[in-house]
Amino acid sequence: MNERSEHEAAALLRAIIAVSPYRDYLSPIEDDVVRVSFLNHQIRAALLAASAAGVRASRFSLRRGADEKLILSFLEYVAFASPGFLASVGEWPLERANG
Amino acid sequence: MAEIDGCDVCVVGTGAAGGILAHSLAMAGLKVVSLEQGPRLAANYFRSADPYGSRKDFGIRAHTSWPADPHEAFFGNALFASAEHGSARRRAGGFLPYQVFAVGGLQNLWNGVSVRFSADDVRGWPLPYDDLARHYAATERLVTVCGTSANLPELPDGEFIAPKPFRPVDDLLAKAVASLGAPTAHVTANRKAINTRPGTPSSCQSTGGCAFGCPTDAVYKFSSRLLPRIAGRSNYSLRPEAKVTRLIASPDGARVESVEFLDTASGERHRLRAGIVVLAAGALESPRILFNSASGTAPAGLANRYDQVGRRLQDNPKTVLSTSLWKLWGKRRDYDIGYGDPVLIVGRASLPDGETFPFLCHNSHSVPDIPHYLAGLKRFPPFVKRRLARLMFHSYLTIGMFCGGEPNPANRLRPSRETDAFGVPQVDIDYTSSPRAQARMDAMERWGRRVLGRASGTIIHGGSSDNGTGIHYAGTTGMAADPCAGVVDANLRCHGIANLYVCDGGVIPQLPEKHLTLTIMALAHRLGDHLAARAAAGELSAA
Repeated sequence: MNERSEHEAAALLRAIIAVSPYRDYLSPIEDDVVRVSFLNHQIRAALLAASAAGVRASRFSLRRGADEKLILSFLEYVAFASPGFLASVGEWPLERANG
Repeated sequence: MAEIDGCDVCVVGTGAAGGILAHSLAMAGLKVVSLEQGPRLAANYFRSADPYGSRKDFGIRAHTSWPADPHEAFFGNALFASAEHGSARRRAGGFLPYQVFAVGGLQNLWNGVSVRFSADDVRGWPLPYDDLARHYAATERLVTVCGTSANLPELPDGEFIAPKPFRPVDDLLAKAVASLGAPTAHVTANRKAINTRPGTPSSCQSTGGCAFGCPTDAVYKFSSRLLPRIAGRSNYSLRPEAKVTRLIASPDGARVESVEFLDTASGERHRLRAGIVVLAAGALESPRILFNSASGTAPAGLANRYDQVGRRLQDNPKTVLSTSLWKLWGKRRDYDIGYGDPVLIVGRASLPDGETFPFLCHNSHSVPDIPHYLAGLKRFPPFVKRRLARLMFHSYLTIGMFCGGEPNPANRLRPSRETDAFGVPQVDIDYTSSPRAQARMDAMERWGRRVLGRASGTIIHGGSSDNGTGIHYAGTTGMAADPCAGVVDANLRCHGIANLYVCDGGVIPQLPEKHLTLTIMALAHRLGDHLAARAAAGELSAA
């Protein structure tokens, strides 16, 4: 995979975040989400595959293929591990857990 | 092949036993070399490089897999040796060997549970329990164990500092156990090798979980607690990235003359002469070294004249159950999360044929910043998930139950034709789970579900296994007075070899339901006294 395809995959992920039901949690940390998605081998491969297949963010759905399901479950995981969500349950910053 | 300066004692491995032993012998004035096949982790490894929870990169690492079973998350830790580097290859559906190759060994990811075996647990061992009890006490003082006395014959008390307090979830669990009305079930404070004294540099900072590596070194491990005490001594040296490939015995096979190891950083091979050699590399790696030390006089491997090396591989069969307690829904946290598992339960469960057996149970409750609970919410749409996740956030409880292992000679390690990434032969593992072990895990699951139900548990996510995921490996170099029944004698000396010892989980002939680490450390402390006495009697040079 070349730099262009990674750029396109990142753009796809940003577009998915923009229409995600968790965009209020994900948008403030969008750069981190993109960085971590490429750090993980499984999510990186799924993003590149979805991007190469020409999948559009507006048509992203759990009813589609395995790559789409994987990417959506990754975003949901990050949403519930985000500072925004953890603050909503009184656990941000996490250091508060220490005592 | 470069020969390096000899030593009185070469200790192979720096985990639970190797650390205690190296400290004990170095403090006694012996010239000691520790060989560790892994590197020394940076002091801030668990604070910065791989911190607990979502603190770094939302807890996502390169090999984190989706979707993951919540109970499997621990096993994805990057410190666990890969199949190419471990002692054994993994077979689909077979025994899963988990090893950590770094200074401190598996104790880098140790949860810290430190319980004494009882006199009944060691019945049949070739050593008196009173002797072991003395070394339990010395070890507890050395590593610092928190807990409270419970006065239970099946769970002997030790020397404890104060534990962290119970939290609302722990009280619900304790009440649920009491409500069973079973005279054999007892709840007490968990016993863990954690520095709970406030105000010290290594005090527990309540991160909520120990098994992912302690960022403050509150949980005992050699590299942070005892190694600094001996690292500067002229009679002690530690060689990380030194992978032992074989032991070289005298022509008659009656003693070990030197240890051959590979410097995995430089690729150079070295030979170290030692008066005494102690294998403390774990119940998988120590037998592998013995197999790989085969020679003309020991064709089946060193210390294996009676075909006992590698036999009776055991792990504690375990059942893990997780749930959300509805009595905690909507509650905010106003308590210290502590080290996550302050409750210890001893109990007995029943098999369908009426037989009862003992088990040990401890709990886990921490801040779920890694949202494993999503697996249980997958059927709900996002807006419902948000509400439920907030409502239930502080309500999750996991319990883990462990019962005794079975010393089946057919469950064994064997020399393999396959080699690791350094070209060193590995071992194959023959392992079959018995119907009895499965029946016991089923019985523990029934007991656990009853208790969680009484504690206001809702949907219960469960799983059982006895194929290595307990990481309490034992039995493969068992202790026995009869050389036809085990590999080492009461002093952990290999039968028939004057100066070769084994000290790790492998020497425990039969696993009781209790976690074995404190016993490994107590045996190491006892061995330290034995070897120091041999040295004082002038026996080392003659060994």
